[in-house]
Amino acid sequence: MNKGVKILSILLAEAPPSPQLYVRPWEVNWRDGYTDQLLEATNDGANLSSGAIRQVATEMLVPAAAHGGAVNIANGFGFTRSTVTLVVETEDIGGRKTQEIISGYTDHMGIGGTDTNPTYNREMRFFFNHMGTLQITSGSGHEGYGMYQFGNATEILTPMTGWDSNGDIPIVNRKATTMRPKDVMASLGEGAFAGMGVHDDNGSKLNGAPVLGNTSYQFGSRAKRSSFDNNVSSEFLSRVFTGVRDTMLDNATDQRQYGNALQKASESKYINEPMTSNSAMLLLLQRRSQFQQEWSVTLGELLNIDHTITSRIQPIKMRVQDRQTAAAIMTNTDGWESTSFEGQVAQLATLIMPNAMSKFALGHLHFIAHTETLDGSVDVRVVNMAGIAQGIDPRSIINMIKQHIAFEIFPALTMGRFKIHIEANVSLNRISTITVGINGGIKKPFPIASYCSALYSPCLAPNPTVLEKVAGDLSGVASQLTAAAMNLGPGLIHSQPPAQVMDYGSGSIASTPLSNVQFTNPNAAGQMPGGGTSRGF
Amino acid sequence: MENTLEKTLNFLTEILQSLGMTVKGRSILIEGEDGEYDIEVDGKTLVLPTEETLKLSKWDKEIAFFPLCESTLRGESEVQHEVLSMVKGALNVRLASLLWELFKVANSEECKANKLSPEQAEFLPHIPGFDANMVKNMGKLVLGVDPTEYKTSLIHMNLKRRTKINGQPFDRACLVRFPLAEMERKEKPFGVELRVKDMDALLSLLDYVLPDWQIENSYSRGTDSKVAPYFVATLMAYQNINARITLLAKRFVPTFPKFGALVNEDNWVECMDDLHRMRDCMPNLPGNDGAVVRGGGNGGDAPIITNEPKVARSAPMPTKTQPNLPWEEQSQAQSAPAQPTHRAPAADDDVVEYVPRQAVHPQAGQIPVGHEQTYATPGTVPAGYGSTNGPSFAEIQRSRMQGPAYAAVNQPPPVGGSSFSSDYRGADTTGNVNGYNVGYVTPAANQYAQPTGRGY
Repeated sequence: MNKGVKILSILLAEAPPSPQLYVRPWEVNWRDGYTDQLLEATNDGANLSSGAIRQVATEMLVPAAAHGGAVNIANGFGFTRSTVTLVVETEDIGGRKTQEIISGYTDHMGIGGTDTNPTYNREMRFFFNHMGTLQITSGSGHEGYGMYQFGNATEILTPMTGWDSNGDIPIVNRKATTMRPKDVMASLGEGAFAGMGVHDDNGSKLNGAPVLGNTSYQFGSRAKRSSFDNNVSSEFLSRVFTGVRDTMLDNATDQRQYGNALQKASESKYINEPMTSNSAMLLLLQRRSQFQQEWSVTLGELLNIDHTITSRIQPIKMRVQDRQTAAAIMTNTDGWESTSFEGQVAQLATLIMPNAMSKFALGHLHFIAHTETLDGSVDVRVVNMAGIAQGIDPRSIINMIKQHIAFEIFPALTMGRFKIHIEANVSLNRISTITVGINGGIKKPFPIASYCSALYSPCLAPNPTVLEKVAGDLSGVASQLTAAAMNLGPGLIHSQPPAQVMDYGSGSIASTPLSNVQFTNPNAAGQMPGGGTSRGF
Repeated sequence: MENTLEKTLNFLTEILQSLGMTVKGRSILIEGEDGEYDIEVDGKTLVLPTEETLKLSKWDKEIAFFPLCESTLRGESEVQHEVLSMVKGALNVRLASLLWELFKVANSEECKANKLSPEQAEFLPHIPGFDANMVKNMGKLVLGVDPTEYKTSLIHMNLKRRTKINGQPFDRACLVRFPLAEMERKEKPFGVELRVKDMDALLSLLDYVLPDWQIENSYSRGTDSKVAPYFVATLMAYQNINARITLLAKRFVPTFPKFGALVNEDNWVECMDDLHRMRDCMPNLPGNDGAVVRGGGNGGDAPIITNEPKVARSAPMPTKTQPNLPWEEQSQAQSAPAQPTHRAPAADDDVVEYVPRQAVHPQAGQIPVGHEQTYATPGTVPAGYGSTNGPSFAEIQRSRMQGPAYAAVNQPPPVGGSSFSSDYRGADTTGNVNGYNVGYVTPAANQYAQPTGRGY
């Protein structure tokens, strides 16, 4: 229950044109032997955590190398626009304050006037791309300092493929479907998994078979949220496998009340995603603007909600030399449309990075990683980084970040097959550049507009066939893992679910220590996870 | 990686050329009546997956020919459908042409003057009661061959997953059927009125060209390949029949150059050892990775067909002549001669019929144009041997199923030497022998063989 919603600030930053981007949904790259490898790695289906299956998962689930069509954005990619970051403060009735950070982009730059006296176009349209919550415990942290935790990081998926400025309506791909683990489960709910119900985002339960063909993974009038975790193959597969296994186990072990078992399955906590209605700001927009119909709002509509926000807009215009740099990046690219292993790795980097960055509450991370060292070990150099919001200083955890790059991000990017050299300069709400060289080959730069990542999310399928392919490919191995686990008996199964986006701050977070990182105020002396200090860093 | 890419492109090119296509740069063309045409698959142009193709990535207009990336979890891909219809087309036209050419040879001056070599003359006893009218009638029959329809095919092929061939289970199989073998005696084959003696001669000659053809599944091939299993099964079945046609045709080339068009070398076979590396040299490409299979990727519950040795009809029994192919010798060495029994009409319910979508291209042409030997000039009627008023060879090339003529020499792989890798290996029911006979199972052989060493 929210007591109040307050827009603290709106950051508007000029964004240069970006290269044309393309849809590359998840694709199963199947090799025989994966089933055996997975059975071994998971101890016969007992431990389906992302860590256990990571090695196979990175080879098995990859963004499609061949693109599935061009991404459309309002006014096209060759257009200067602004990126937008809304910082919203919500307060529940208990007085606990939470910040929602909602990022996206506008349809045009919309900033006029002079630097000292800027003006804004009321018709400027805000599209929201991703969001997360920054939990604040004011004054109750170690030594009296506040602590922060960033969680519930999700992309905001819509079937929108652009904006018709003439008709002032969204251009919609009616065939678009979400392809999050819960959607894969819903699609699996036929055949072997008949009877496995799944929640849809509205909260309505879709019990019974066949689930395929229902609307649970089609867009209604709703935007849908997809956890950043779903952009990491091991997390994605872990959720699917765990969801299938535990749902089937619930069904099998609760024979007395079949209906009850179905209900349990439909409430499967392993695959839940945050809903748009979980966000106080999005809920407010749904109620007080055309957001529900247009998946975007104009500045005018925001002003109708709160007419004082103009004073809290922080405009950032690019310097001339920055514009030149941006133009150079635009021309210096291998092109996202081409089908290559380099492009596939770059795409993977753009997917994995925001997830990792959200775990560390980073808004910007620039690193270089390669194995061109004497002993073949991974060399990681962090060039630059910045916190996701004002007041967050990640310097104290740089070693943790390096570790994460070396042992989590880098191995995933190799897809288990390549020797890569990667330079990733990623900003969550700017143009990022990923430069990839494979097996000592030429390093190819791939600039990408991270601020619209939801448009090319791997969990957004341009048509249901893409989802059916992934679900069909995973059904065999999921059922084998489940069967193996059932032979073990429920008692031996690790019931701990993989990282939960819903339960940040609650007990289940222990399964992913890195997401437990708590950040200190910049003026606090390196408060470390678990309340320790930064001695070791 | 670069070398593998090059090798892969060569491999794909050789297969396409063997199937009668022309490869120019990244275009895959088919000979038509008035020139060469692009091949359309699923409304898109089929192209070779060269670096340029991948760079352009026009996947809304183009579809790459890379059947190697077929997923073992999925069904047949669009490109695989096309490969199968190419194979069916090529084999039907080649077999029909070979049969008709043999009839013409029997009617030729050389034959009448006893100028055929013993090897060439070998087929003559297989045309009982030969007369000149037979050539004409066979011409009509050959003209009626249309591989897009089951009833009008000489050879019909369809793919199946998880099936048994003569008791031997396979992950994927290319089932080869001969509709003529299932035809009732009184039926008009391909709608053509034939005399009884014509029919007897035709069936008898088929027995010579493809021994044991009336025994069910004697030409079907299965595989447990972990790389592109549908593609591999199709290639195995194709290579088996094509090698036989090539072998026979080559005997006649010195005297009758026309046979050159039926000679199609299969040099690509040696690359089958390297399928893994070739598959991994480029990413999965759309249209090649296979269609969704509902109800579980790991095979599903495809009905299993049972294949007791059966024979088609009470028509002339296959009379075995001297074994002249390594694979025949081999199978005979290991088994008693096959004893055909009567076969009931094929049960269609246990065979998933493959319906070719694009088996005949409207623009498809008539004349096979060889790469090195030109057999006939497009649009002209080649002169026949002897006196015949039947349809020209050109006319029977009504679809795109024409075979380029290669000048290379066909060398059947040596017996016992493996020309296939273990993952390509097929029906190795003959025990240790893993040579040219790979995948070839006579029912009788299977009866005695221990199912050992299946490929994996």
